[in-house]
Amino acid sequence: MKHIFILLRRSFQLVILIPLLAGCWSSRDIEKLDLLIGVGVDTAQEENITSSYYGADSLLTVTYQMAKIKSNQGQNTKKQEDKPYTNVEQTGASLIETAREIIQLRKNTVNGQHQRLIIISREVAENRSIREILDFFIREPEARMSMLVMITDGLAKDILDYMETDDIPSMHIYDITENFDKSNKLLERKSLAKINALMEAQASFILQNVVQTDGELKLSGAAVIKGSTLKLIGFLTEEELKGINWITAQTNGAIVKVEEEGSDKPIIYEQELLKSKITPTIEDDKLSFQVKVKSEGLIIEVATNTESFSEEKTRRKLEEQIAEEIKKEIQTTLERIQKDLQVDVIGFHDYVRIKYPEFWKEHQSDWDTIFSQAPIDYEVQITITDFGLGIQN
Amino acid sequence: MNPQQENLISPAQAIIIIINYILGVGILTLPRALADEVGTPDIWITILISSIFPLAVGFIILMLNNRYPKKTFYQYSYKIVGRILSIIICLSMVIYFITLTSFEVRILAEVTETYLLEDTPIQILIILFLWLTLYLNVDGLNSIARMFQIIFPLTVFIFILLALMSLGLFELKNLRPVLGGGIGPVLKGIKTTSLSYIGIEILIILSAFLTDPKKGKKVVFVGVLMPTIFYLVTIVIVIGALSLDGVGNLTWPTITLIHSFEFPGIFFERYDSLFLTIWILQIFATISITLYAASLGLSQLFNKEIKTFMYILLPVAFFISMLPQNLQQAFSLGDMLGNAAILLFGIIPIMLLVLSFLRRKHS
Repeated sequence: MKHIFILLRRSFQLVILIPLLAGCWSSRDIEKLDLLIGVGVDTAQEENITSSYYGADSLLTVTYQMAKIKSNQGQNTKKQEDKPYTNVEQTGASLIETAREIIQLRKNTVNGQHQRLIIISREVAENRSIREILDFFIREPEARMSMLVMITDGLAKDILDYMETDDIPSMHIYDITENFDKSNKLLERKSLAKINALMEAQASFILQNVVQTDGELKLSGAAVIKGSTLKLIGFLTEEELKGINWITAQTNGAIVKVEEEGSDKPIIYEQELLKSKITPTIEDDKLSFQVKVKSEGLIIEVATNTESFSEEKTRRKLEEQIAEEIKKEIQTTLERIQKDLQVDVIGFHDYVRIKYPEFWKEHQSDWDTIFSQAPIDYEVQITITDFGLGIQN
Repeated sequence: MNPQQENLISPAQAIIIIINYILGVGILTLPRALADEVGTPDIWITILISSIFPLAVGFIILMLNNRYPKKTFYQYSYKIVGRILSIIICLSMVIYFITLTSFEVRILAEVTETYLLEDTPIQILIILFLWLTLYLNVDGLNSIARMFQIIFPLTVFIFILLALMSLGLFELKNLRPVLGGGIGPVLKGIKTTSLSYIGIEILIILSAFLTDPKKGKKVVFVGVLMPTIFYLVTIVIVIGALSLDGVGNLTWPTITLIHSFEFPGIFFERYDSLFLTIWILQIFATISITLYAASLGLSQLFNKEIKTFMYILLPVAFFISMLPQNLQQAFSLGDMLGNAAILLFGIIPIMLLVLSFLRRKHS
C-alpha cells in the first residue's frame, strides 16, 4: 500500500512538471521572421484603392519595409536588381488593418522590434493629426520608442524604394541622422519617445524632412507641426534650420562664410564650441526673450591674401563680421517662425515654464500666439581661437 | 513545531529581504501614477517625503515586537487583544499577504506576456512562478534569505548599468522648475507613493527571526533607504528623459524609457529584456516572502506544520490572481491592497502598542 502511495505521488509530481516542457512556448525562428525596418505612410494612391468601403480620402497607403534575411549566403550570382529589402504596400483606414493585410501576403511573421524609422508624407500630415498615425506605434509593445519620425515632401513609398545604394533606405536615413553633430543644416534626432512627450504637451515642434534628389536621399529642411492641431503647417529650409541650431546650440557642426571687405573673397569660420542662453523676462505683463549665443572656433579656409590675422584688430573685425552673419541667420529664422508660421518650435516655452510657472499655467493654451508676439533680442559673441595649421605670412 | 528555531537570519539578510520585498510593481508604474497625481516635475520630492511613513511604520512595529521578544505578531497578539480579536486580525493579515502574492504574480505575468512571451497563456506563467515560489519556500526563511542575497547584487548592477545608459536621453529642463507649483501638489502624491513602500510590514514576522534583535532599527532604516534610492533614481531618469507630459499616457513608463535608447554598434539591442530580468527577480522575491508570511500566519495560528499551508495557499493564490478581468482591475486591486496595508500595518500596530502599554501598567 505504501509503495503504491509513493508511486502515485511520484507520478503526480511528474505530471505537474509537464507544462514546464513548454518553456519555449513563444519562441520564433529567425528565418521565419520578417524584420520590419521602416514604415512609410501616404494617403491612398488611386491604383491601390480596391474597396469603397471607407471614404477614400481617409484611406492610407502604408509601406512596410522589411530586411531580406539571406538564407543561403552561398548563392554567387548577385543579380542586378537584388535589393536587400522588400517593400510591401497596403491600403486601409488604420495602420493595424494594413499591417494585418500583410499576413495574407507573406509566409513569415512581421517582427517590429527593430523598426528604425517612420516616414509620414506631407499630404497625410497636412490633413490628419500625426498623433493618429503614431498612436499605433506608441501602443504596440513590439515597437520601439527609439524609432525616428520624419516627414517627406513627396511620397513616403518613393523614399523607401530608392535604388542608388545597396543599403536599406530606412537604415540609410537613420544613419545619416547621426551626422547631426557635423552639420547644422540637419535636425536633432527626434525619437518617438520625445515626440510623444511633445504631442502630450501640445507643443509645436519640427520633424526632419526627407527628400529625393537625383536618385539620392537627402535630409533637407524640416516640417513644422503645430501643437494645437498636431498637423503640418509648413516647411523650414536648410538655411532656416541653421538659425534654429544657433539658438538651441545642440550641434557643433556649423561653418560661417564671411567676405573680405573689398575683395568679396570668402573667409570661412568653423565653429568648435557653441553655447546659448535663453532668458525670458516679464515686465508689465509683457513677455520678452534675450538670447545669448557664444561660439568659439577657428578660421578653416581663407581665399584671400589678407595681412596677418594674428593682429588683434583684424581678428576683432573678423569676429564681428562672423557674429553679424550669424545674427542674420537667426533673424531670418525667427521672422519665419514668429511672423509666418507663428509657432514656437524652438522650445522657448520650456524657459518660461521654468522661470515663470504661474504665467505659463495661465497662458499655456495660447502659447503659440504669445510667442509669436514676444520680442526676442539676440546677441552673438564669437571668439576665434585658432587659424588652423596654416600660418599666414 | 516552531520554525523559528532553525531559521534565524542575520540583520544583513533581513535588510536584503526588506529591500527585495519593497521593490516591486512600483518601479514600473510609479512615474506615471505620480505624474498624474502631482502634475509638476517635483515628484522626486514626494518620494523623499513619503519615505518617512514606512520608516515610522517600521519603528512602531519594531517597538511592538520588542515587547514580546522572539515571537511573531501571530504568536503574541492574543496577549494584547484576546483570542478572538487576535484571530480576526491575524487572518486579515494572512488574507492580505496571499492577495498581495496573487496581485504581484498577476502583474508579473501581465508584463511577461506583453514584452517577452506573447503567445504563452497567462495562467501558465502564473502557475510556473507560483511553483518556483513554493520550491523556494519549503526550506524556510533561511533559504529565501540566501536566494535574495544572490538576487540583490545582480539587481543593483543591472539597474545602475541601465540608469547610466539612459543618461543620453536625460534633459535637466524636464525636472525644472523645482517647486514651481508650491508644495501643495507635492503632497498630493504622498498616498500613491506610500503604496510603493508596501513591504516594510514584513517586520511583524521578521524581527522574531533576527539573530541580533538589537540591530532592528538599523534593519528598518537601511531597508527603507535603499528602495528610496532606487525609486529616486528611477523617477529622475524617467521624468528627465521622457518629461512629465510624456509619461502620462504610458502604461509602463520605465520599460518605455529602456525602449527609447539605442547604442549603435552593440550587437545586443533590446535592453528591456535585461531590465525585465531583474524586475522579474524582484517580483519573485516579493511573492516568495509574502507566501511565506501567509503560510507562517496560518501555521502559527493553528499550530500545524507550515509546509501544509504552503501547499494549500498555492491554489488559493492562483485563484485570486485570476480574479481581475483586465489590467485596470488588477491595478485597482493593487490600490485596495495599499489601503488595506495602511489599516493593517499602519493603524492597528499603533493601537496595539498603546493597548499593550496600558495592560502592562494595569498588571
